[in-house]
Amino acid sequence: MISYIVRRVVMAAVIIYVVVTLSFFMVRLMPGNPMDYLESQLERQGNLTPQQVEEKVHAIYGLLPNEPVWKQYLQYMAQAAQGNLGTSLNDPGQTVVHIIAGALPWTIFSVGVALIVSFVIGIAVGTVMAAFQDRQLTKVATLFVSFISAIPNYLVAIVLIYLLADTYRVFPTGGAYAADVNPGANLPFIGSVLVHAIMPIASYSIVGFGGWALQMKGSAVSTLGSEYVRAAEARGLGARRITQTYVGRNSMLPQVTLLALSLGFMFGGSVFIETYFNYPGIGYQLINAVNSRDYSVMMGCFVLITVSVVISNLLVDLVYPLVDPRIVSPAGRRSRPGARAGAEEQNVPVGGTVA
Amino acid sequence: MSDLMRDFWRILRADKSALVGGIIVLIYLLTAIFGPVIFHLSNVQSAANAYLGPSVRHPLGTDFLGQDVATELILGARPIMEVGLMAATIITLIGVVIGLLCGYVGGLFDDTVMRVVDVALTIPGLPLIIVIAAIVHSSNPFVLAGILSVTGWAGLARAVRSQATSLRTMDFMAAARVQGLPLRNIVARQLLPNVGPYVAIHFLLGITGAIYAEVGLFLLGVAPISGTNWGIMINLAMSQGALLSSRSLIYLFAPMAAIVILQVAFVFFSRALDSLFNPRLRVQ
Amino acid sequence: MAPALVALKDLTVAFGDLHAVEGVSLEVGQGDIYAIVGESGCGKSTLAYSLLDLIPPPGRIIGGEVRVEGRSVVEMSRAELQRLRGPRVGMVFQAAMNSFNPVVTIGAQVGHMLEAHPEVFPGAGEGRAYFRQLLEMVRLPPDRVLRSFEHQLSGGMRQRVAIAFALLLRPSILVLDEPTTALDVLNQRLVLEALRELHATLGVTIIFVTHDLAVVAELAERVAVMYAGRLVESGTVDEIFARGRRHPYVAALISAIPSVLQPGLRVGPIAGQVPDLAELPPGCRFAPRCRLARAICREVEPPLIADGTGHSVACHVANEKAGLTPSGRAVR
Repeated sequence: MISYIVRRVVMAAVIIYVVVTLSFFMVRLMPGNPMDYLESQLERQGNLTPQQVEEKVHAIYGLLPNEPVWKQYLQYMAQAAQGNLGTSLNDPGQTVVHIIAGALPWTIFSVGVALIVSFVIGIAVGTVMAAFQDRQLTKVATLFVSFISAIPNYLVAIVLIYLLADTYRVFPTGGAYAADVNPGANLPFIGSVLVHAIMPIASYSIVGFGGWALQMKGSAVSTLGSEYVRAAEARGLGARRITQTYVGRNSMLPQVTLLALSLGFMFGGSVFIETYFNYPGIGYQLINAVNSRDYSVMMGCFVLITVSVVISNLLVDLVYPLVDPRIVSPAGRRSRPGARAGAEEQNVPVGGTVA
Repeated sequence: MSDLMRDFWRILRADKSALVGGIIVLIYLLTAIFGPVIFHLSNVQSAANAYLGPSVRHPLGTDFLGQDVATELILGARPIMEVGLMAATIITLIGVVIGLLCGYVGGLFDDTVMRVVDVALTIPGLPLIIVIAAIVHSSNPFVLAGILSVTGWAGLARAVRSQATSLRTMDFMAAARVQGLPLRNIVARQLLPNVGPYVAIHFLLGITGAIYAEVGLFLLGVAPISGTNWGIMINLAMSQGALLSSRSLIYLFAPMAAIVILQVAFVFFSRALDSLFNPRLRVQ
Repeated sequence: MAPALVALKDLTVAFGDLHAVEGVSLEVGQGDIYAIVGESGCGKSTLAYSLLDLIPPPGRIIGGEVRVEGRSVVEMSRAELQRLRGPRVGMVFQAAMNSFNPVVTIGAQVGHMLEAHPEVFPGAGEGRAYFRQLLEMVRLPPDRVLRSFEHQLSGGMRQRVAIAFALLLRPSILVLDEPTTALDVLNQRLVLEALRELHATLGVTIIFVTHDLAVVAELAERVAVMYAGRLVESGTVDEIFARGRRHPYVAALISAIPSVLQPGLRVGPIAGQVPDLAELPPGCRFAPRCRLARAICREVEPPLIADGTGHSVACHVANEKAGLTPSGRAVR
């Protein structure tokens, strides 16, 4: 058990380290990298001495461009560890950390709620589909659900905007809350936040619930047919107990694995959804930074999105043994269904693992 | 091999949605290949003709520059599918090769590479793709395909490696080695038939994922706008106010529909492959 | 004869158009150790499941009766079935290793059983104490087993735990489907000894299904042999193994024992194969493979004829040789 926890934590730390290193690589070493770009831009301006150019670059990125690379790397890592990710290119008054710290809660809020919503709806739909698996309606429902999950989430966002914001003015077209509301723990603010969050959350969920539903249907069907359920019936266990502890708990297990995958996908998707709804989360800031060539903010957003995903995955991993005790011991791992090669991969999410 | 094809036809006939999906994919492929040969976009750009409604001359109306939407739609297929196919191929090749190597070689090599795979699986692909694309700032299809593949290969590598490992430790592998069967033979006869189905399905779904990400890149303007493709069409439509009038909506919705239809077709078609390779479903 | 505890009369079970069990009648008395023997696919497991109305769909009972303690199982309501399963009849599935919920401890699952049948052990903790006793009877350490998950126990241990589960609610009948098949020789021995001891101590009636004649010889008192869905011979274990009036299939099985001491009697010295239930031969189902087959065997299905001691055989040739007609009396 301890070794399981330790391994997961170490892995998370390693990935975060890799990501920060990766971002250094992109900032400094890739062809066309932003620091070189900035340097050449400043030099072309012509009115700065090389010394001043260096200082300007240093002010923004915290790195001295003429030092040997490995030294810059150490500087970068040291600063990152201290929570200094540089300042915004376009708005030198703001630190990157300040910008992304303001944005992160919105993304966590919308993505988090969307995850819960798609999870709940998906599980419910999937369970119903499994319970009535032989009916014609289920076949139609399966097709319909597959159809919906294949639609890219940004297209759903556009359609929602068209239908509900422009044409019928049901929901606001964007923003996290109305302009005339005071942020704070007051009811108008909270109400406004919720109303503004509905469309983004709907965009995530409409596309997202399908994966859960199909996965749940598959695992519920296989659990229903398994030996231990029949044995439980043979022992005269009540229907409620069987549904809850025998079918229910075992069907849910693959869902938790799916959770980790979905987290990454949804955080990635926030890039599109937040841009279209002008929702000031991390994804929005990332695209903003990209379009305005604000590389330091861009890197900060990237690192933060990835770190968020890594930490969420870690949390899921740590909670998982509570649901499935088998993962903690080697004998248990072998006895899990899908421990066989490829079996658990049968439900590849739409898009493989590209996004 | 031939009874594989026979079963495949049977499954397609039984599962109508898969059949329709396959046909649609084929149509798109043909459009992508032959479209630009047959159709050409006129060079005339006149704002006076902007957002004309559907007519005989312009079945889908015109865009904000007065150009024919239908032509743009057809021409827009090739760039999207090109990059999608290339990215999926890269992903599949890398994934299979790494998976086979790890599975067969095992040991420290296997352990280290698998750690790398875990990292690639955890890092969310899309933000990384966006950031790289923003820095590199190129519309070159090969470059785009490469960027899109940056994390997609990892899932396949893991699955292929599991198969390869389990086969490696089986007794008959030892027997085959003792008999001196060449590696090629073992790979072809034992590994590929087991792993093939998953690779094929992953390939198809990889195309959908690559198209999703690629269109997204063009949509957000992260990949520079050059030429015409569906993502660019939607991007320009949104920024040029296509939502505002009902005649211009077609310019916005046509490429969206094209994308959705293609993605759905791929997904349904891949279900036929899934049935084909699932022995329980296949043997009637 | 003592009144039958379990009585099957003309039972026919269908899976779609195929009859997995065809017109089987047998009786199990109180305290018997009764074996149902046959090859894979002969319908013996289906027979066992019918006792609890647990035939897996799409199987359905389409004819005949299944009576447990005099009451028809098929006519029972859901609530009555729940009272049957566990407290009256305990079942141990084939490969019982998989009959446990993988994410819940054994102890918790004991709790589930007790909560579903609170009438069996009124006092708190009585049920758990009895379970610990049962575990000891099957030679397992109670503390360890109760707090383990199923994957932490070996296959043989799980099989014995499954037997304890089946006996927890003090049923009068214990049904086991292939209790020793998935086990190594050592664990087989342990299970058989445990069953014998349980029978001696608790007086429980045991019905078990197997294809392993060696197990039958060791454990059973009465035997019923099935072939392709039909009952072909039944009697005491001595009568079955004796060289007298016998069904040719049984004779062939027994003579095959020394050389075929392994699961899966399909590949044996008996030429030919079990008939496909979708394409049954006319007349006796064993005729295509029988050395003694005559013209009548290929036309008329042999009736099951009992002699004076209750030993029944369904074979034209064997019964004629013994001078038995369907009325049970000697011809001459």
